[in-house]
Amino acid sequence: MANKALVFVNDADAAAPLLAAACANFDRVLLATNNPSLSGADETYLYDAGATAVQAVPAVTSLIAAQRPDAVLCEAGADGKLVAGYAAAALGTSPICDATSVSFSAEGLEAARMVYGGGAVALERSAWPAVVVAAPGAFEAGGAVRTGEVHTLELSAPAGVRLLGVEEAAPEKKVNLNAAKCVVGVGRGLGSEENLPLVEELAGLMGAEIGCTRPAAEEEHWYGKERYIGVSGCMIKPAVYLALGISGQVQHMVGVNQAKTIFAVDKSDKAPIVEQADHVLIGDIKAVLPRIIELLK
Amino acid sequence: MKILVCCKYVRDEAAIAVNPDRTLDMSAASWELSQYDSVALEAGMRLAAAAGDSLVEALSAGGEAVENSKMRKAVLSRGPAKLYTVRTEADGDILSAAKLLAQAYERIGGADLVICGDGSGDMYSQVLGTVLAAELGVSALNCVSALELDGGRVVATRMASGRAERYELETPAVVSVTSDICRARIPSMKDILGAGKKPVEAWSGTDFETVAPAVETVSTLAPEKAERLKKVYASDEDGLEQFVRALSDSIKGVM
Repeated sequence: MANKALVFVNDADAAAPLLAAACANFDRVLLATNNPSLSGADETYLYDAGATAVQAVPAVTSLIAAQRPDAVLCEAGADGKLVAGYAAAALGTSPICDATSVSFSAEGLEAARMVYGGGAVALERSAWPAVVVAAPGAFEAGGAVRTGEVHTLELSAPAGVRLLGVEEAAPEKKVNLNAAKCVVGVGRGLGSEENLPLVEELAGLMGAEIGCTRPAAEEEHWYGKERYIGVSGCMIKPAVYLALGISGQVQHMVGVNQAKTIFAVDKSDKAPIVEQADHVLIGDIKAVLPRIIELLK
Repeated sequence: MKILVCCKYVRDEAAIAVNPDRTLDMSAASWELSQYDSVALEAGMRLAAAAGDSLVEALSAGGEAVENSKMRKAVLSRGPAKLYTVRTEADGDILSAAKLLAQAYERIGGADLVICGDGSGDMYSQVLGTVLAAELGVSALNCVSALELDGGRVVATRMASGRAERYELETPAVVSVTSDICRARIPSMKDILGAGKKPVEAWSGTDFETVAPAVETVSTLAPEKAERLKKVYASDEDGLEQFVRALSDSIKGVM
C-alpha cells in the first residue's frame, strides 16, 4: 500500500468510487472539495461551495505542494483536468487523463486510457508521484472509507484571472446514461429532427434512456452534449443498445461496445455497424420506426 | 496583441491499421494537423482581428512531421505569420512537452496569449495547456468556448460542470479552446501558396533542456472486439417481426 493520496472531487456520484479506490490503496487519504456533503477521507479540505475550480486551483495546488501525496486522483471533466495539470507540474510528473482502469502497486500505478479516437487503448505506467484523472466507471464504489477531520481550505484570489460571472446552462434533465439498462442511440442517419418524437415514443416503450453520437449533439443539436456517447462523452454498458441511424464509426462504438446486446437500424447493409451489432434491421428509418413501435406495443 | 498558437501533427486516424496482435500499423497513416489545433488557429486569428494591430504566430514540437513542408503549410495557410518548430527525436510525455514548449516560448520572446486546442487529435489528454501555464507561471483556463475583447481586456468563457464561467484574463495567459469556439478555416489555394512564402524558424530539441518522461507507455493496442451475432434482417414484414421479437426478448430479460 502506498503512503498518501489526495482526491480532488466535487461531484457526489464521482466521489464514492474515487474515495473507495483511494482508501483501498493508500494509508492516508486527503480530500479537496467544495462539496460539504462529501466524506470518506482521513482529512477533508473543504473550500467555498460557490468557488469555481479556477478560483480554487492556487490553494489546491499549494496543498498538494505542501502534502506531497504519492498520488493525486481527480474527477473527470474540466475542473478535474485543471487541477490535474497544476498538480502534475507541482509534483514534477505527467498527468494520465481519462483513465478507464487503474491498478496500483508499491512502486506506482498503471492506467489504461483510450487514444486515437477510441481506436486503441494505451497502458501507461507512472512511478510515484502520479496524477490521474479518472473516467467515470474507472473505479467501483463501495468498500471501506475513512472518517476524519474537516479543515477549511482558504482561497486566495488567483493572480491574473478574475471571475466576472457564472451562468447555469439551460436546465436540462440530468441524464445518467451509465445507469440505464436500455439505451436508444441516435445518429445523423436518423435524417431529420422530425423523427425525434418517434425515437422518444420508442424509448418510452423500451424503458430506455436516449443517447446520441457526437455529430447528432454538436452539429445537428438534436440532443444536449450530456447525451453524447463515445470518446470524450459517456462510455456505457447497457444490457440493450439500439442504434438508430448510426453508421458505426469507432469514435461512437467504443462508447457502446460493452453493451450486452446491440441492435441497429440502418439504411445500408454495408455500414460498419453491421459487423459490430447482434441484430441489424436494414431499412429506411422513417418508414420502419412506426412499424417497430406498433409491433412492440 | 501577440498570440502564439500551439499546434501538433497527428496521424490520420482513419488510416491506422490494426495488426493481428492488436498492435497498430501506422505505415499508411499520413500526418495531419490535429483538428482541434485548426480551431485554435482560427480562434487566434479572430481574436487578433478583433484586437487590431496584432500578431499571430504558431509553435509546434514533434518528430519528422515538423519538417514536412505540407504540414508547415497546413499551419501557415490558416493565418499565422510565422511558424516555430522544435524537432524532437522521441515522443515525450505531457510534462516534457510542456517544458519544451515553455522554453521555446521564452526563446520566441513570449506572447500575450498562448492558445492551445481542446486536446490533441491522437492522445486527447486535454491538459497540456494547463501544464504549460503552470510551467510558465501564468494563468490557465481550459475548456474555453468563447474569447472576446472588452475594452482591451481578454474575456474568456469557460465551460465546466454544465456552467458557463466568464473570466477577465490578465496577459500573459494560456487558454485551451473547445471546438465550439469557432469553425476551423478551410484554406484557399491562395492561402496555401502564400503559406509557402511565410517564415519558419526551425530548432532542434537538443537546443533545449529536456527531462526524462515520468510516464511511460507500456503498450498501445486496439481494443478487443466483442463477438457479435451480426444477424441481418430485411425491412419486410417478416424481417421486422423477427427483429422486434429479438428486441422485445432482450428488453424482457432486463426487466
